[in-house]
Amino acid sequence: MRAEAAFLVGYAVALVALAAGLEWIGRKSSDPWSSRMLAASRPVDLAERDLTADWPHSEVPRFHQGLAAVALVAAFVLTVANLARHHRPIELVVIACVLALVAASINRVIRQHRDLSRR
Amino acid sequence: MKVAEPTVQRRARVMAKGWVQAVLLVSLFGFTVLGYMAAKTYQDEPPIPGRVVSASGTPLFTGEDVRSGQEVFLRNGLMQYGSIFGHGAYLGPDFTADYLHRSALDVEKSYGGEDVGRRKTIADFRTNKYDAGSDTLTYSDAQAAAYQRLVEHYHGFFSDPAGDTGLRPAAISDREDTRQLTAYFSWSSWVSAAERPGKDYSYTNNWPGEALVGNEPTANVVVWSVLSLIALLAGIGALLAVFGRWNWLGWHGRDHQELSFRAPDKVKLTPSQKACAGFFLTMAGLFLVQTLVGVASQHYRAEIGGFFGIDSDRYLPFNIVRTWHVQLSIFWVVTSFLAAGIFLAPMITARREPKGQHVLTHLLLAALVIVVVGSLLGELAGIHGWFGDLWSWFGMQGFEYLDLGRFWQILLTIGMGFWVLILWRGLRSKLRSEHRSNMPWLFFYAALALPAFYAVGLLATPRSSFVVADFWRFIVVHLWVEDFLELFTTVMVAYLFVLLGVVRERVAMTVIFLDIILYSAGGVIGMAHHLYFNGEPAEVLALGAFFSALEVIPLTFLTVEAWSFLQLGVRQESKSSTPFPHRWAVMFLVAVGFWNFLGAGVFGFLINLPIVSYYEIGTALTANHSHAAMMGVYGMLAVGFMLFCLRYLLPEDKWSDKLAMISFWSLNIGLAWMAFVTLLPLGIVQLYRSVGQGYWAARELNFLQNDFNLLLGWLRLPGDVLFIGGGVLPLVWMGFQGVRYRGSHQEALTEDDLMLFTEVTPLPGEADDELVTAP
Repeated sequence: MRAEAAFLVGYAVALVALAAGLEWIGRKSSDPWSSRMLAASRPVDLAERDLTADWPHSEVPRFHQGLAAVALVAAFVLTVANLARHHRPIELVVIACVLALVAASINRVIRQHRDLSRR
Repeated sequence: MKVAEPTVQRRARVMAKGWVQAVLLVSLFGFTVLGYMAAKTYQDEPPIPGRVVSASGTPLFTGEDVRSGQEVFLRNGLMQYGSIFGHGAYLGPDFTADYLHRSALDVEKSYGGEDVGRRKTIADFRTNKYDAGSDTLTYSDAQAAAYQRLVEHYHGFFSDPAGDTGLRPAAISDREDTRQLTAYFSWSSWVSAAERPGKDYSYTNNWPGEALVGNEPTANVVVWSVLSLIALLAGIGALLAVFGRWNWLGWHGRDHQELSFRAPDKVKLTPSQKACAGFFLTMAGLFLVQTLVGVASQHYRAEIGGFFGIDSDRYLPFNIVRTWHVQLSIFWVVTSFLAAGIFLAPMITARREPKGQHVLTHLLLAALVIVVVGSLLGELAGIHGWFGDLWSWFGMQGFEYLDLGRFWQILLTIGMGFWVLILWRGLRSKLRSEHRSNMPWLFFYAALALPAFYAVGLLATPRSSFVVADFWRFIVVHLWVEDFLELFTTVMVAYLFVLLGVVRERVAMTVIFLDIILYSAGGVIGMAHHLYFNGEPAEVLALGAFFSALEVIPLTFLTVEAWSFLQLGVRQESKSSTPFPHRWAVMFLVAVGFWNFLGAGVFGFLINLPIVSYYEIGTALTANHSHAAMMGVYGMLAVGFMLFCLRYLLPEDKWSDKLAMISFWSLNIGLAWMAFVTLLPLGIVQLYRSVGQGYWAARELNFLQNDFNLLLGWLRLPGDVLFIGGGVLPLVWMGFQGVRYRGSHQEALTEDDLMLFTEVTPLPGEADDELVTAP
């Protein structure tokens, strides 16, 4: 496998990981009352718990999902470009695997987007 | 009977004395260390020898040639084409590394090639043969011969009538000019390889990496990288522990007030607020031009001689479009900040404004347009040599980010001073009635810092030695842009939320004080992370590495905690009986939080360690950080401020949430696309090459234009089109609408007219429920 092909494969996988990370952050509540991000050992105030996420917290998943989608489409485009430039047998196999991974991730984001819109 | 004039009672200090003292002490510490670094810069700068001779006694060039060479370099905008000591633009070569590599190759060849000549070559370059007594530097005969040959090489390069370099054809054809230019490059490469007296590394901490002369990272570079990482981890750990445990800021508590936002068309405006509409149209126009010249500069990477077959290098060569791109990035953002400040003042005082305030506002806009257009055209005329000896006053002064002539630089400083005066007039009544550490004063101080620190850039003159000029230049590029604009915007955002009634004053002030404390330690001293390799001593590198790592901490804090702050406020929407009018302005602030973390924090730290910076400075990784941070943070903020103000300037039926939404998504997607598809991967590829083959190789045009790098370059096109078409154009339209309909608002006559919310109705029994703000 040539260095350039290997680099693009690695970079595309990193973008998929970045997208997954962004989605994860998007699912975390950023509501100041329920967020435990910086809470350390601060005890939970029971009254804090009943508050549901409202705007703009409701936009947080959408914003992160949007950027995750950008990362995934970028990974897709770079992988297709990789395929166009490198197609030794081993390269074909590896790039096809990455393409499948990217496609599966895009599919997941689309599904989640639908869920979010339905809510 | 005479009635005694009532004496104005100042409102008491809102914050505890301890906060004020902490801010003063930390700022004092930060600026004392900065002063120390300034002193070290002057003490330990590499010498510019009075004369340089060969071992056999032939005079080669003089110190005057080096200084004049720097002037030729700046006058012709070469710092916006390639770079010197890694600082500048990224299309052309880094002239320090380029000269060093070419001359070392020559010298090695003359000594018999790699096998027998390498050791002798290294000795030639590393041995410091500068004699301070006679102010003379001696080159070996081989180095002298290389110099003579390179005078011809650079003359050929700069005077080539065919162009194809990205500069205009025959950009510099005067032989004396190209000789002095070569002397300047030669001096910079001597500085980068000759060992500092008493040290085993060069004046530039062995930068650039170059095997031919034995330049490799020093112990300081490695050790301070490690310590910098430790500072980051320890700092973030401390932040999590302290804020998590003690709830210092108090916004984890519950707020119980209910309020009703006034519909934007019910809020009446003062004449000066209406005058701000012109600023926002100007801002959007400058933003559009900035992106278009950005496209043109990027296109030079793909097509070095022009634009789709047009010989654009004759009229708008790379260095001009790059200069404009960089200068406009500051101009359009500042235009928005200036206007937002003026817009906010009457809302802060909630009084009728002094007479003539709108006339002054119009005058400021006119002055701004004159400075922007004048300086940009001056730069174009400057590289053609139209100003003669006055080039540095009206033409291209040439330091990246301080490209504008000194006349324009002074005018811009005066303009910002004039803006402070406008704010002073507007706020005077309020300032008189408030303690000097309260919010209106913080707003005023933050505004005052803008002209004050921009003016420091005047200390960098084309005749200054590069190290000294670069130190003052970075006071503007780093301290002014990264710290004081940050401070001003933090105060603005905090104030906006206080005025909207959604955040308590004390909470907002805690954020501001904390911001100053965190930035004064990390940000002020951290400025030295720009100065690792430009001829500053190792102490500056150490301080820069250690303290700039701490800069990531406020960024993390601002992202996670201040995020909550913004949203805490807006959360009130659900309780309000009227809709919250600033949905999209706040969404832009949400984007600011994201890009602050990714663009400034992650992409910034990626290149911040000295060991990484050593290899990557001036590659696409730097561009990746600067785009994601400058546009992601300041750009999004500027647009957010614009939308906030336009929401009031535009009649309800002319306001379009849809356009704001399109712009929001297009700008964010376009920016992310640029970073993910082009800048980040290209930067990694360049970094790899720099480590493997030497810094010069990562900056070579042949390499930048190989088919893989070109592919990465072309792939950004869809994102750029979306950014401009979907992101910027709607803003231009909205700015235009703002000017068109600015008069349709009723004039504010009473205090109530300017209020942004009404009906503060605490729930029964909870009226005195204050937020907990102390541990």
